[in-house]
Amino acid sequence: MTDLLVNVSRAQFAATVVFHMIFPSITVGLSVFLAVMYAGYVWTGKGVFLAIYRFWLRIFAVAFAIGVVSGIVLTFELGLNWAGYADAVGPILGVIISMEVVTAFFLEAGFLGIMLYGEGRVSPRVHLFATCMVALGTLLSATWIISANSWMQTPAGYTRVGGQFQAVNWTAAILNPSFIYRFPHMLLAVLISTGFLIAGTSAYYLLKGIHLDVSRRAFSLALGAISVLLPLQLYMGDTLAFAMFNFQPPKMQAVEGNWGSTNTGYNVFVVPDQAGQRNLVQVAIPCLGSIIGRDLACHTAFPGLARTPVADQPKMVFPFWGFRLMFYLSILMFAVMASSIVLRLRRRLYGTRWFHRFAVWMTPAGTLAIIGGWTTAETGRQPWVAYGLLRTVDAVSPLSPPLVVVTAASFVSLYAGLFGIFIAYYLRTVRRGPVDFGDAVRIGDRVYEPAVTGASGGQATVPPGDPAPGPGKDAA
Amino acid sequence: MTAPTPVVFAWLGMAVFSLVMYVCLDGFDLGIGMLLLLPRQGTDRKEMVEIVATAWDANESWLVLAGIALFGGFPLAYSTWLPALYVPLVAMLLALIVRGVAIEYQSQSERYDPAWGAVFAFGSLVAALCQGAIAGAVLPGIPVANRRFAGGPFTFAHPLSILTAAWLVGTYLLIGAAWLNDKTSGELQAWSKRVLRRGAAPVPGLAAAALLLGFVTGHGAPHGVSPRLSAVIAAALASGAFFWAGARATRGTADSLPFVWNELALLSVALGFAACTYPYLVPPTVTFWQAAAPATTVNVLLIGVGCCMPIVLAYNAYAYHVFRGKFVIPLPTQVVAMAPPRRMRRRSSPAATATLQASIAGVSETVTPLAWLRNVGWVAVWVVLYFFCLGAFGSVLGDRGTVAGILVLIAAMVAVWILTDRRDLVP
Repeated sequence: MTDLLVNVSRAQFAATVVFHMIFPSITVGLSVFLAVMYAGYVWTGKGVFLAIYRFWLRIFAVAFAIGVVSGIVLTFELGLNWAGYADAVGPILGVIISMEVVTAFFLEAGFLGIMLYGEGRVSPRVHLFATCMVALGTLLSATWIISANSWMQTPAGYTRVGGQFQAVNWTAAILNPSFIYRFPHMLLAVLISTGFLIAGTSAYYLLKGIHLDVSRRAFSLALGAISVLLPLQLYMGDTLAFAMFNFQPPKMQAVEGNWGSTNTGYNVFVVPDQAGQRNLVQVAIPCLGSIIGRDLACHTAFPGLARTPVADQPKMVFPFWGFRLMFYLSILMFAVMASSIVLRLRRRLYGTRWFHRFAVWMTPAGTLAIIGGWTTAETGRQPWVAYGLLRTVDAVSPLSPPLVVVTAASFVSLYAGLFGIFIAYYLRTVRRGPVDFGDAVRIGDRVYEPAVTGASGGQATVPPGDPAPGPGKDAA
Repeated sequence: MTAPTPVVFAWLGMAVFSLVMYVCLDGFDLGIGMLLLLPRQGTDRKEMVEIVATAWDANESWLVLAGIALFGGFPLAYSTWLPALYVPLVAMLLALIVRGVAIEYQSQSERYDPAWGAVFAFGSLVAALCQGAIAGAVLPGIPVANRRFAGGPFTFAHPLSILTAAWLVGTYLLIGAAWLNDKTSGELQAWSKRVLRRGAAPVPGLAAAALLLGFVTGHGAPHGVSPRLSAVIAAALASGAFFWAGARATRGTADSLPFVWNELALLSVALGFAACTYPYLVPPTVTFWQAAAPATTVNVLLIGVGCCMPIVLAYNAYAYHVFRGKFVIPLPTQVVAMAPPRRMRRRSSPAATATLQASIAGVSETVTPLAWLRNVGWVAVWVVLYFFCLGAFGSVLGDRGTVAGILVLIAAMVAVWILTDRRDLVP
């Protein structure tokens, strides 16, 4: 009975957290991108920035709303399904998440109304400020949440009184050992995944040959950002993986996909048999494991999961395949980025159709890689909820299992529906395309918002009574 | 802890404050959502959704703060309340999800979409019912054994929780109508005034009945019945008076007054409920200081959250200030006076632009095998350089070399990015 309860409670949490993660993985980066675009518009008055801003705002608004409401669910699930966890870690994680709420959640929610509906009610500069505050809020939110999760991975700065954890050193608890590695990794990940979303969407327009001004600008910007961030990300990911070997050996043993400790190769495909403590299928590239371990002579083997007592082992299949999903996608993302640099230098970035098709297919790559990474982090920590201290079995709420089955099924079906609707909305918005704008027009000391280009020929909107901007007179 | 310290008391105040803020603020947008169940024409409905759209997200933040205030400050209450209230809470969360998503889809659509409108309205109704049921489910007591909830999934169902659900729905409807009265004009405003006047009779009755039942079933006030009884009677009378004043104020000229009166009525009923259970946070046995987290935690919570709270309140007030007054849908092409952009003077000649366009558009699509091989070669060279910079052959460069390599790589990427943009994109 307890097994069933733990499994359905975990399944429900996994389903709700994976669904939630899809949205921050694009909205954190999008909020930064939107702030940059609006700053570009306020700074230069170019309509192309406004067109990009307005277009992505439509997608951001809905994705952000889904991210917020699905995030609220997670906060409550900590108590609903994991009462033992809430009671034990509340005195530490409750503080970290409280700080998230007052410094980040409120900030983004408070300024979101102005960002989405404030145009025309506040000046462009105030609007830019609101947009920046939303971006800052999403970044701070990610910081606190990664800190809280990292504490569960590498608890620090605590003492245990009865069943409860108490902080003895807040700095050590918040800046816990794995936070230092995991925060930059996640930050880069969300920015890169947004980059692929924008690049893929822009590539669609380049393929169709429509909205070229807008899509070239966004395509170049997204790929440019990716090519700056991806080198850092590969380095961070590699550093984090090696740090994890010290923090949580069982997780990395499972990631490498070995049971024994003699394999110097790198496993690319494994079907593990947890009960038999062996692999049913195992495909490895010889010596690559050793080379990744910085031993070019092919003598170093990664330790296997059999070194961990069976009661403390995670289920190998999840960390292994979660990690492989992230790793294989990172190779493809690297291919996009390396090709983009060569195409850029050869002046073919906007004219190479295979590359645009590739980019369209890679639209969800970053988000999928993030889900893979989180699957590795969370399932690899099992059977602990706070690593080495609190077992998942002891954390679960004493609910009746059928009840949790019903709620888990409700969440899964609702989320499946919402996900389908969101994808349909995204595709419809992309098909409708951005509204193209002319540039802002300056007459005397006043500047007028750009008009929609088309029949009016890109003239700015000028109120009756003001002198009409004639050709050549614009931009002073 | 055996007695309440001032810090724990203050933190209880913070938790109650955020819960009250949530009920008062999200109350009006849940109420407007439920008002959509009543017949109105599409343009009015669209307007009602747009009024909610600017504020719902900020309002729901208070719910998260209230929950987290319990999680951090009173973990025992959080870990027993939530499993005890599992059914109404999960139903409320599901309702809040569909409702929030419906608002944004509705707001992105050009005209009123009846399907999303129905989702929004029913989501609001279910959320309000669940919140009311939760309010009434805690008072009769939560069975706890060994720091864990020890009841069943339907322990929450109680005559009191049914009564409070009905009361809260009624109150939210009134608050929603009062907010509409403040935000709209013309026919919609006249309609919301009618709703306010009609609701003024049944809702105070429900409130008084719920308070009475709460008094009978509640476990509060260990020092005898009389202070608790007087508090409950005072709350019932005050709420009745405030509801009445709210209905009367609809005839006046100050459009925000009915909202204020109805909020005060809600507040007095809420305080009456608090009096029924004080000082028990998990009735009938656990007081709030017994449920509190260790002193180190509550101190840090109070300092951290307390310092941020004035800023939070300030920008929330500013956001309401931006959307103050009667609601108007902004014109699609509104003129704004922007500060003169500094770089607007720099413009390239039309001839140069045309050359650039041609050079981009004119790229040949046919790729000969030789050209293709050359490109692949470039990519290969690039990949080797890349991994060299990343220190994959780390023994050559060492740790410092790796950092230097990454910096060089990033500088190169930025340079390529900027230079090609200047060359290829129309300025």
